[in-house]
Amino acid sequence: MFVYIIRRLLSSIPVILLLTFVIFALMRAIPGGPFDFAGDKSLPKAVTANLERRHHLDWPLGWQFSSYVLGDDITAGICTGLAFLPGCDAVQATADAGISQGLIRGDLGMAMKQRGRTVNDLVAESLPISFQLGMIALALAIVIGIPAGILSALRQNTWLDYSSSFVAVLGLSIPNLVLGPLLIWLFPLTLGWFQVATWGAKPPFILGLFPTNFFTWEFWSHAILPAFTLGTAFSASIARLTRASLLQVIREDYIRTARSKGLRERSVMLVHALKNSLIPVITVLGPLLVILVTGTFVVEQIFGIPGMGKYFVTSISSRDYPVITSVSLIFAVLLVLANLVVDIVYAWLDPRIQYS
Amino acid sequence: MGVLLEVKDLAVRFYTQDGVVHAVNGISYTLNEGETLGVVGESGSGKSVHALSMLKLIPIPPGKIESGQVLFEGQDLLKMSDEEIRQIRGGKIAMVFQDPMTSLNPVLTIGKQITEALQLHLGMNDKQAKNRAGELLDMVGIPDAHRRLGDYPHQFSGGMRQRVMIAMGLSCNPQLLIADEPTTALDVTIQAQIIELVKKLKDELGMAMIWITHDLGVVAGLADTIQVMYAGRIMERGPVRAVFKDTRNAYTLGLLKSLPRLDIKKGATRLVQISGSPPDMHTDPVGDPFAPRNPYATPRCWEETPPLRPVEDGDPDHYVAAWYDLRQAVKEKPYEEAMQG
Ligand SMILES: Nc1ncnc2c1ncn2[C@@H]1O[C@H](COP(=O)(O)OP(=O)(O)O)[C@@H](O)[C@H]1O
Ligand SMILES: [Mg+2]
Repeated sequence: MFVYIIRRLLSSIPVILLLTFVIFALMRAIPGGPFDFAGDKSLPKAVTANLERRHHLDWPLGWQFSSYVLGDDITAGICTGLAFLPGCDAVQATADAGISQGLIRGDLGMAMKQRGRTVNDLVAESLPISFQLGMIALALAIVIGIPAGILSALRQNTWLDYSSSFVAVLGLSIPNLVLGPLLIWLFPLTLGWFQVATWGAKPPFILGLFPTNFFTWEFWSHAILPAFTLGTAFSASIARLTRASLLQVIREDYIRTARSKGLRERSVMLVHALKNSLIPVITVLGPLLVILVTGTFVVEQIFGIPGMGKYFVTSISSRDYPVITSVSLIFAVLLVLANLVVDIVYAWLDPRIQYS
Repeated sequence: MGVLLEVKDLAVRFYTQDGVVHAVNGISYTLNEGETLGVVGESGSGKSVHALSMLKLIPIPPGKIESGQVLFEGQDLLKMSDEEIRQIRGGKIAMVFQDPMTSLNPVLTIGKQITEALQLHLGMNDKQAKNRAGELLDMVGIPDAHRRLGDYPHQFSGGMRQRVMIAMGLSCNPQLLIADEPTTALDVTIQAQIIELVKKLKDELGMAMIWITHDLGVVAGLADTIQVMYAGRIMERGPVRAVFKDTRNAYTLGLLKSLPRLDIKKGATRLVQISGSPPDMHTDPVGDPFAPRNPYATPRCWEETPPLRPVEDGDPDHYVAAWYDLRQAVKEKPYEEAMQG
């Protein structure tokens, strides 16, 4: 298992690097650059040129990527060895270890539009918030979705099943863009419950990710509404899927075998049916996580949460190349990790799956 | 030997979207302690449904037990509460199902699947149940039994899985084991091994058994009594020897004639298939359900359903449902000829 995990992680590196390069190149292919405008007025030509040179925008694309991944010193080193490569003179002229130590040393580069701030700073303060929001929403989706699905299946075609189905369809069909503002209007604005805007947890975070005030009202008063907004659609699809899957499973021969042994209906369901019925649910959890991640962008915008979604949106329009590249990279890594966790849970549920 | 099980006028229907399926149409029989009953008939003749209904294991709805009693040790299983029937299931009456690939839970170890019944019915603790489960696997001939308790069904071959199912069925020393086509999904050599195993275990343990199959050949060497079912009815029933040698129902004869036999002398007979199509279970047939396919059918067969009655001058335990006299009819026109004309 351990070997499998390591292998999975290593084998995902090329994909992530390729993805990073595509984002890196695509962003630079969009017309306009980070220093074309500053506020309303454009900067003097000389200043722009200076800034561009400082951030290596005068280098050929390949060398820029090399600087992002390997750092300026190694890139300059390569140029010393292979000086005949095109663009090497520019590299050697302006290489500066202060700009980029390279991904391989955990440096995501300098933000171009936020003077003096590194991308690492931005990520360290915003990623944990997005992470917390996403995890709470996911937990909510699972904690509501799976029991609701089980109940609907066990009470198939009763009012309980119908009302759960109704709520699920409702939850699936209301976009976050509508649900979020509706909740804001209803609870904080009309009833005065909960908080809007900002987030209840501040750095420092435990292990760089987890809030220190998790068990306080301060944290939850900010978290509940956005997590609910983000989680409803997922809990609805999980509930629907759990219901369908369980109804399928209870028709299987081995359920009849379990009943023929004289087991109580509760053991038949919880011991024999549930584990089998969760296998397809886990399978779709991987793709659902992708939607969850992109969903956080929208929900963060609606609720004014200072998460990473803000950078994802603003850095595209402001052409802040290192920020957008790094944010994409982080989301890619998160998805790889999430899918790995899904696969491990999958193997635990279904002994027929062998990882070696 | 006392009577263990008495089925009286059992009728089961399924109310489906395509109409009512008359799966079992008023069958009655008795089973003695230690007796082995072979229930034979084409697929769809209601064999499984009749057995499952006795333990209330058919899905309700769409299924419905329309009438009847199933007296087990004098108590009507069909009147029992859910709690009471659970004590019987797996405890006093155990079942082994057809397909060992799908009848075992793929995500639970076989140890778990055997021990849960032991803990439930015999009140064993974890350790006792594990030990007993190991003994049971050993008894059904699974090598290295104790170590394999932690394995999952997919780690066993088809034959081995059916052995596991049998061990599971026998785990709580049932008085009655119902085996529903336990060898149908297995290939021929494995099938023979399983039948040998069951014979041996039955001699050792002495429980009564209902062995359901569509293959007369399989029960010939195994059963004391044979009961032939067609369209949810019992067509003929009697000691194995009587049914084979003194056949009284045309459907039984058809089954026998379509059976490959080793003892037939060269050139004596070809295999003859029963012509016509299986009965439509959606209508409650008037008359003998086999009449449309029966070359010996008399006009009365089309109008009146024959009751199951003792045969005339034969074995006293031999019963048949037929208006015609098969012995006479075959004398006038042998079966092979009748099937052609
Ligand atoms: N769950 C069910 N729903 C509807 N019809 C069923 C169901 N189970 C069995 N039947 C019908 O009952 C009849 C008898 O089936 P069964 O007892 O399984 O036959 P077999 O003799 O092959 O075991 C068949 O016509 C079958 O289609
Ligand atoms: Mg059957």
